[in-house]
Amino acid sequence: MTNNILYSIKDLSKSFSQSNKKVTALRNVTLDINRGDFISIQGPTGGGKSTLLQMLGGLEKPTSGMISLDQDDLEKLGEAKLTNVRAKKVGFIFQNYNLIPTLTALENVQIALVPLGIKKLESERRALAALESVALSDRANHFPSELSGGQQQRVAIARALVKNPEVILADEPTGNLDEETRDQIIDLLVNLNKESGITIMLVTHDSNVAKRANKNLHISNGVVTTRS
Amino acid sequence: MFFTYLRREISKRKRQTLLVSVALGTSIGLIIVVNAASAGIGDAQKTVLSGLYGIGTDISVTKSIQPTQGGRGFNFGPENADSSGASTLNQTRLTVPIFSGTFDGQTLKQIKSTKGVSRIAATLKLNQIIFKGSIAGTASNPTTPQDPNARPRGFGGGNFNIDMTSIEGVDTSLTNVGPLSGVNIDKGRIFQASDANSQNVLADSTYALAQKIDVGSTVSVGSGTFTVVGIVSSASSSPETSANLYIPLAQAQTLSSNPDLVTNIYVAADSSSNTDSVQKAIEALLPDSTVSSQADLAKNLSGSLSSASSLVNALSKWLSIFVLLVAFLIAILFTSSGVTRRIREFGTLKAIGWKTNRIVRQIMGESLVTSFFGAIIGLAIGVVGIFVVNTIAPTLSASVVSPGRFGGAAPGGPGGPGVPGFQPPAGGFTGRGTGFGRAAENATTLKLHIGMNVSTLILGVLIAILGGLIAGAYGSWKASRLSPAVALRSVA
Ligand SMILES: Nc1ncnc2c1ncn2[C@@H]1O[C@H](COP(=O)(O)OP(=O)(O)OP(=O)(O)O)[C@@H](O)[C@H]1O
Ligand SMILES: [Mg+2]
Repeated sequence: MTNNILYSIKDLSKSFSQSNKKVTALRNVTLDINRGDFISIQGPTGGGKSTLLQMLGGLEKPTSGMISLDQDDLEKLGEAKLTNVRAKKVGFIFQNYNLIPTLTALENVQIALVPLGIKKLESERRALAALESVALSDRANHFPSELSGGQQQRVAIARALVKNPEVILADEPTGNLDEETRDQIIDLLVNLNKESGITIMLVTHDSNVAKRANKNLHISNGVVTTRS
Repeated sequence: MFFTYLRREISKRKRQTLLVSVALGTSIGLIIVVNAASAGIGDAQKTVLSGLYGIGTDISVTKSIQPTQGGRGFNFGPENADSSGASTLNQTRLTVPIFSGTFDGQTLKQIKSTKGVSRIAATLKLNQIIFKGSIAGTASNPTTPQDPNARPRGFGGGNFNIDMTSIEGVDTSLTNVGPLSGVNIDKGRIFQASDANSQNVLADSTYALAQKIDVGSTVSVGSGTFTVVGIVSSASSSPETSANLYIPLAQAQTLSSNPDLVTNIYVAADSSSNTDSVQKAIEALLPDSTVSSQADLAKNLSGSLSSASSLVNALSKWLSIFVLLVAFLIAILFTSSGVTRRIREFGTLKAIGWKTNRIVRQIMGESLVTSFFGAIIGLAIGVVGIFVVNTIAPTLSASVVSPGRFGGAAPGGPGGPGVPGFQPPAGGFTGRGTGFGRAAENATTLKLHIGMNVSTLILGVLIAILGGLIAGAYGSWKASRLSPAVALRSVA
């Protein structure tokens, strides 16, 4: 039964102190997330959506509470181990794609394999396969500036899934895209979730996107509620 | 991936790479040129000094003395007086320069046996003064000895000439130390050991030209007649050698009735690192003498060469430090702003699972490659700069400000030499010491030539790499403090 639970979150709080003012971004979040879920996260701006993704991805440590990812208690891990968890288990997708502008599409995918110590040929083969799965193998040697927004985001998706992660965390991945491109990207993610059973957690302001998920979370003022 | 990423960053961010490497390169180029100029000026000083004192000479020993008042005067006897009371004069004197002390053979032996001395050459410097002409009037009028208005022995006008020639008696068997070590042979030959007792003479080329003498001519020195066997000129660009005429030492000693005496001792140490200890040993041996090394002599140089030398010495230090600081600052600022611009990039790499170390390595790599380009630019600027300086080739002049150490050139002596019946105008002809010691008036000009110095070039490269390391370290430190969460920031 535990095997089915990917994330187990108990009483998780996160607050930031900025110029003597304490901002609480997450308040006593308790939540389980199952493997294979496709979860949308919605809520007003400043509500704590990105902060929740930071906790889920091990980018920041919680102020209090517990969060475990697949046996790893993230709040207890040191920086090196946390980095290792990110390298192996988590794939990120960002609103601004965050590709390295000086590297080609293929190389941008390969950088996700660098911390795993995968050799050059194997890394190239896997990166090409990942690009293939987002229908971009013909653009492998293009630089980000030579790609459209949708194509850049597909490269970013390839980078997230090339390491075969436990979970893909996406922060408004379609925020900068037109509707048609948005739908292509969401189709891609839905297919990934269905075909390889990869867990996806996706922050969005767009209810058309949220509709495609099988669970919906809402965060407002740091408080998480479930609507399914 | 390290090299791919590195190559891409360097080639895709050309402006950043160029700015930092040009800043580093310019400063390194400047440092190379200034340091080379400094070394070149140092060499110029050495050249001038060896021109003045001989290339093989490390240490020079002389002694200066207070001349005895009224010592070496001309005697204008009444026997020269003609019927009108005027005296006709033609007198030659061959004397040791007025302020020069002498050394004897025993002292020479002691110096020779001093530890660290490899060769010594002793010379006897002499001044030949020929006084020619007539002195009219009251020089000595026996008919009015009691006239209170008459200035007894006063100078009543006349027509006369004073010719001065500097003569140096040299060791004919040793031409690699002492005055003849720094000369070129223009014509004829230099002395050989077999010349020791000959009546042969070498003439300075400038003097020979003025006196219209050539190889084969004869010149008289004191009571002797000598045959010119060679014409010599200064090997450095200084116009003259240290004496007008060079004769065998034994001849000089005989002619001046100074057997066994010498005025100048030129010492070559067996290694340049021994110069100091040899100098100290000789100073202890001869406390009354002036014992000078090349380094001491350099302090006595004046003229644009020595101003250039102190200027460049000051410049090479402070300019180098200033330029370096500016270059390092530019490198640090640009690397730092580069990291700031790439916050999202580094944050993303961290979010993806890159260890901080790997990012640091990447930044250091970029910085080092940039500084390597800087080194290449610096070397190019340095080489071109040195070429330009040599093409412009500023002319420097040098003269010795403290004569008297060598060749007996005296600091302006007391007015009158005490010539009976002859009252010279203030300052008299011995007033300025320069006429007697050739070394003293050796104002030299030479074109600055600076050379490429491998160690300076290597230093330049190392400095560039140091700049790269410092800038890279600062950038890395900034990047290492980044939280991976910055990757999620929505602002671009
Ligand atoms: N590093 C930080 N330092 C200080 N305050 C922060 C930091 N990160 C987030 N916050 C604060 O925490 C709260 C939640 O921010 P968060 O970015 O999670 O909101 P969000 O739901 O993602 O908003 P948006 O929809 O605008 O992206 C906000 O009030 C924000 O100002
Ligand atoms: Mg957000």
